[in-house]
Amino acid sequence: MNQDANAILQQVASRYGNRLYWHIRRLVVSHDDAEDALQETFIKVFTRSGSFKGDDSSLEAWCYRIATNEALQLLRKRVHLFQSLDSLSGELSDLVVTESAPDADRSAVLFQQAIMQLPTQQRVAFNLRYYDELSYAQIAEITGKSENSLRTNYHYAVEKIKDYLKEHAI
Amino acid sequence: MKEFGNINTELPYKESKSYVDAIVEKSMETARLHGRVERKMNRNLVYSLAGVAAAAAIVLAVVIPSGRKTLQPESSPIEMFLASISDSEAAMIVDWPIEDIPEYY
Repeated sequence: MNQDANAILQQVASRYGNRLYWHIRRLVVSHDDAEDALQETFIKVFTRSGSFKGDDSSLEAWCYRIATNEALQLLRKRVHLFQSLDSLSGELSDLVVTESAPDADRSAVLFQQAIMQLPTQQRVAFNLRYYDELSYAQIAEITGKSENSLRTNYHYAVEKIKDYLKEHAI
Repeated sequence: MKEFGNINTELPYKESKSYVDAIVEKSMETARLHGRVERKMNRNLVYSLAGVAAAAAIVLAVVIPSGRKTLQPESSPIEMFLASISDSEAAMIVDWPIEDIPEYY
């Protein structure tokens, strides 16, 4: 059991560790928060590996699901009672500027700020599709949403980002 | 993705791949350590709960039957009869002069 947990954690870290870090980072923006959420993700992978019964492709979805939950959990700590996560968009948009490298490309910064304007569900769907290049079937497995609603989410996200970029002259 | 023309998937953050790899490695080691400690704590908790359950079972097995034993005589017909009579009536039974029983004459 412990041996299995070690092996699964090792596999997850070497195969998906880097991608999971960036997936979390794109959601929480702050590097310190991303590190904390990655840590919690790995702890859950290790302690819950006994309950995982699946193949390699579902291992990837399982890890992404844990990582997404950890990232959103961390963001929930920042909102007040009865406020939705979407209310953090302004704060996260400002954080993008603070966290960006001094020599970062302006369009890359603005693009991240445009993503931060999206409602949380759209943002998660967009990031998983655009950056991680996952299929809608995989994203559906991670988020528990239907493939059709994810397609719609992605479509609306793209339109909103384009509008934002036009508005800010890119 | 062609939707955004010349904007590629590059992020504006400065962390390099080797730096993130080091973070992944560190997080993995910490998770292992944390997981082991958590499992050990859970195991200790299970042992403690098992100990408490065993002690409770012993108490139930020993105290309740002995309690029943002490209660049993009070609920027996003889005890109920003795409880229903006064002390003087009880003394009469004990000190009954056997030669006064008419049936024996």
